[in-house]
Amino acid sequence: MNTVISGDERVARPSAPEGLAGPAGTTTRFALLVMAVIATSALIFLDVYSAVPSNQARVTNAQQACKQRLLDGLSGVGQANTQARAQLLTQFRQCLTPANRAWDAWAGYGILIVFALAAMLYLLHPWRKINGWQTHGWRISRQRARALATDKDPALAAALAQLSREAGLSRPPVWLASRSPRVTAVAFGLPWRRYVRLNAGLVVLRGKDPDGFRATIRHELAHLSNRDVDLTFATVAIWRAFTVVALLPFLVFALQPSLLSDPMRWRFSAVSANLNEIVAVLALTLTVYLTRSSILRLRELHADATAAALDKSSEALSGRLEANLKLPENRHRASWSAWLKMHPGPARRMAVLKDPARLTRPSWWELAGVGIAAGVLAANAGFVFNQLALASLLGPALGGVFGALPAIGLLAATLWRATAGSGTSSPRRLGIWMLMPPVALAAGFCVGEPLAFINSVDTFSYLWGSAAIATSLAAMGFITVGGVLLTCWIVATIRAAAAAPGSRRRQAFPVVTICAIIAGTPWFAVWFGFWYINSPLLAPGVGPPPEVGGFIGWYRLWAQWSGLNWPPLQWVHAIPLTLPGLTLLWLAPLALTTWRRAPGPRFSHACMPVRLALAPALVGACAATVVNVALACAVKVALPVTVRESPAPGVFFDSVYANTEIVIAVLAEAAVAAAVVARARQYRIPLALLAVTATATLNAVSIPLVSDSIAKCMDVFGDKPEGYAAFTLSCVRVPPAVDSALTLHQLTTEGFIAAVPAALLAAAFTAFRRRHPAPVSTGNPGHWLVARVLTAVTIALLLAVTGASAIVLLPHDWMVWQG
Amino acid sequence: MSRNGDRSLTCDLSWVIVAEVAPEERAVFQVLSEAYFAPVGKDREDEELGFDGTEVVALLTPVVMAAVDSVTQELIGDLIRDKVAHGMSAARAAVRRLFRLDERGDSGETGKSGEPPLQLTAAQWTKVYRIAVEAVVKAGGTPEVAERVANALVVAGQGVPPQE
Repeated sequence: MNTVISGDERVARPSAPEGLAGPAGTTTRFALLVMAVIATSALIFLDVYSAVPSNQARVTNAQQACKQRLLDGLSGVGQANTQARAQLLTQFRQCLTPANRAWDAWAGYGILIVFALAAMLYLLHPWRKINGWQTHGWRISRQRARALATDKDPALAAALAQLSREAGLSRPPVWLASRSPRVTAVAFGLPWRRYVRLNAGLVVLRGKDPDGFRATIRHELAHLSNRDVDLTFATVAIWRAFTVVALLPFLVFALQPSLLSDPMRWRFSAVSANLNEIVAVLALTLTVYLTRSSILRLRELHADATAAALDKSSEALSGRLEANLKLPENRHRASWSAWLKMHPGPARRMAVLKDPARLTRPSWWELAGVGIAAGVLAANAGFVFNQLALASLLGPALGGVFGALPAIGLLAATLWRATAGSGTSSPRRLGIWMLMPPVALAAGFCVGEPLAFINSVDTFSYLWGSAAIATSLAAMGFITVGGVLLTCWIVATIRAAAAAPGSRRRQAFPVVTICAIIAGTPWFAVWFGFWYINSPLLAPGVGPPPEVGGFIGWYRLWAQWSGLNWPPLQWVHAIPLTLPGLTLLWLAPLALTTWRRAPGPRFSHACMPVRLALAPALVGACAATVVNVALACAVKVALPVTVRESPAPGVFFDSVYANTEIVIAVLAEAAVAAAVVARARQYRIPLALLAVTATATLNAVSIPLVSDSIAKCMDVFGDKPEGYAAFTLSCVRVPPAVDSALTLHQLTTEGFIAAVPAALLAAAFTAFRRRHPAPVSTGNPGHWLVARVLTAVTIALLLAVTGASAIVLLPHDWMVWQG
Repeated sequence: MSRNGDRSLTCDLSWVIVAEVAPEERAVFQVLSEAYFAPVGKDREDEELGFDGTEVVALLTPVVMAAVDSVTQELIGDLIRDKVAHGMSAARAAVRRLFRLDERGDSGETGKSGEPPLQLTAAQWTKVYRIAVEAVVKAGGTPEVAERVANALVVAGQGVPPQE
C-alpha cells in the first residue's frame, strides 16, 4: 500500500501506476449527490410553484390569454398555410415565456436556497459538535464536549502528539473529550481549525489495549489527512438543507394541496391526483439519501486504509474491528439496513483491509444513480429550456447537455478509478468488465427520466405502457452502445497515459475527462432531443426514389440506398463541437504520449506510431478517388444522358452521384480503420480514429477537386455545352467553403460510425493471432527528426482544416437549430 | 445520587479517588463530572466520521462520584447532628479537612495545613466504607470495584479500611 497525492485528497491506495492518480470514489459520489439534489429540488420546486394560489392564477391567466390570441390568429389563416400557422405557434410559445420564466426562476431560487442553507450548516457544524446538539429521531439532546485535559495525563498528551506527527498533519487537531463510554472518537472542524473528540470510553481503552487505542486515533487522524471532514459535513449539510427546504414543504403541499387556498378542507382525491409526483419525489429522495450514506461509508473505508498504512501491521485495527464484530448488534446486522447506515459494518471493513482493491472497483449502483440523476436533470432542464420558446429541438437538446456533462464526467472518473487504481503495476486491460458501467448508466437514465417533472404527471403509464417499455429498451440500447464505445476509448487512453512521461500522466485525468465530455455530449444531446419530443425519427431510412430514371430498377435501388439517411445525424453535423470532439479522440492520446526528447531504447514502446495511421489514410483516400473515377466511367456507359441530367434541385442524378461518392469514401475510411486495427499492436483505437479523420479530410479535398472535376470533364452530368474541348480548366471548380465544410463533417462523422464495426471485425480477426513484441528500435536520430516534423506538419494541417470547417459552419449551424 | 450535594466537595474528593483507582480517566474527569451532575439522554450511536465503535467500557468516575456523594452527604449530616459543625458550610469545610482536600495538589499528594484535620473513629470509617460500597454497587459497579473505591476513600481520609 502506498500513499498517493491525488488532487486535494490524500488516500492510501493500492499501487496505482506513478502519477496516474485521479479522484477517489467519494468525489464522484459527492458530485452525484449534488446532481441528485439539484435534479430532485428542481422537480419539487416546479411542482410546489403551482401550489401557491397567486402563481397558479398567473400561469392560468397567461395560458388563457395566449391561447385565445392563438385561436384568433388561426381562425384568420388557412389550413394549408403551414408557415403562418407555425409562426403563430411560435408566437404562442413566446407569449407564455414571461409566465414560464417566473416558474423556472422559482425553481432556481429554491435550489440556491438549498445550497445556501447547506453552506451555513456546514460552517456551523463545529459549534454543533462541540456543544453536543444531537438529534435522536425527533428528539434533541445536548452533550457538551470539553477540552481533553492532557495536562492531567502527560503520557496521553505525548501519545497523541506522536500519532499526529505520524499522520503527517501540518497542525495537530484540538483534542476534545466527551462523556460517552463508547469506544470511539469523532473528527470534525473547519479547514482552519480541526477537532478530534475522544469519548471517555476510548481514553480508558488506552490502559487495556494501547494498540487498539492507537488504531482508533489513527483512523480519526486519517480523516483529517484524507481531507474527509469538509466533504463529509458538506454531504450531511446538503442532505439536511434539502430535507428542510425542499422535501418537507413538498410533502406538506402534496398531502394538503389546498393549504394556502382552503386549509380547512382536505380531500383524498386531491392527494391521489398528486400520487405520481409523490412517488417520483420519494424515489429521487431515496437516491439522494443512499448517495449521502454511501459517501460517509466510503470515507470510513478510506480512513481505515490510511490508518492501516500508518500501522506497521494492520493487526491493531483488525483487532478493533473483530472486537466490534463480536458484539451482538453487529453479528446480526441486517444486510438491507447497511445501505442506510453511515458506517460500513465491521465485516465489510475487515474485507476491505484485506483487499484494498475493492475501493477502486466501480459500483453498479453508483453509476445507476448517476444515470437516474442525469435523466432527471436532462428532462427538467429540457422542460425549462423548452419553455423559453426556443426552436423545437434546441430546448430539449440543451437539456440533454445538462444530463450528458455530469454523466460522462462521472463515467470517466469511475473508469479511471477502476483502470488506473486497480492495484497492479499496469492499468487494467480492456475486457468484458467494461460493459457494466455503461449498462448501469443507461438503466439508471431510463429509470430517472420518467421521474422528471414533465413526466411525473403520468409516470405510471409512462413507465408501464407496452410502448413505453419498448421505447425504453431501445433507448437503453442506444445509450449503452454509445456508452460502451466511450468506455473503450477512455480505458484505452488511460492505458496509453500509463506509458507516458510523468508530467503528461498527471494531466491525463482532466484531459481524458474533458475530451470524453466534448466528444460524447453532442451525440447525446441530439439523441435526447429526439427522445424528448417523442420523435419517431430515431431509425435510419432509405432515401426517396429518383425523380428521373426511377423505371431503371437497379438505378432506383441504388438511388434509395445511397440516400440512406438518419435525421438525428443531420443535427449532429450542425453542432460546432461535433468535429472537434471527434478530433480530440485521437489528439488527446497523441498529446499524452508524445515525447520531446530523442528516442531511446524504449522509444517504440512509448510514442504513438502515427505513421501507422497516416500511410493507410493516404492509400485509402487514393483508392476512394480511383473508385470514384471508375464510377464516373461506369455511370456514363450505364445510364443514358436523359437520366444523368439534373434540371433542378431534387432527387436527380447529381444528388445520387454525390451520395454514392460519400458512400465510397465512407467505406474507404472503414477499410482504413480496419487495416490500422489489424496492423497496430498498441494505441489501436486512437490510431484508427486518426486514420479515419485523415482519410475523410483527403476525401473531402479529392472528391470536389479530383473526382467531380474528372466527372465533369467527362460530361457525366450531361451539362457540358457542345463544341467544348474535352478538358478545360472550367471543369475544375473549387466548391464554396461551406459546402466543403459540410462534406468534411459528413465524411468524418459517418466515417467514424462505419469504422466501429469494421474495427471490431478486424480486432476479432486478429485476436487469435500470436503477438510478437514490437522490435526495439533506436533509429537514426536524423530520420526520427524528419519523421517527427512531417508528422507534426500533417497533424497541424488536419487540426487547421477541422477547426476552420467548424468555424465556417457556425452560421449554417445556427440556422439549422433555429429551424 | 444527591443533586443537593456540594459539587465542589464531591468533585475535589472524587478527583483524589479517581487518581488512585482509575488514573487513565484523569484526562476526561472534568467532562465526566459535569455529566454526573447534568445527566443527558442516550448517546447517539452513529456519528459522521466516528469510528463506529459500539463497544462500551465501564467508566469508574461516575461510580466514584456516586460513592463520594453518598459518603459526603452522610458525613455532613453526622457532623451537623453531632454538633461538631454548625451549619452546612462548616460541615463541608470539616469534611474537606478530613480528606485534606485543600492541602492536595493536582497529583493528590497532601501538603501542610493550618487547621488540624477531622478525626473519625473506626466505627465511623466502617460506616463510610459500607456506604461507599453500597453506593458503588447501586450505581452499577461490581463488588470488586466497590471495594477498591471504598478502600481508596478510607485511605484518603487516613482511616483504616475494615478487615473482613
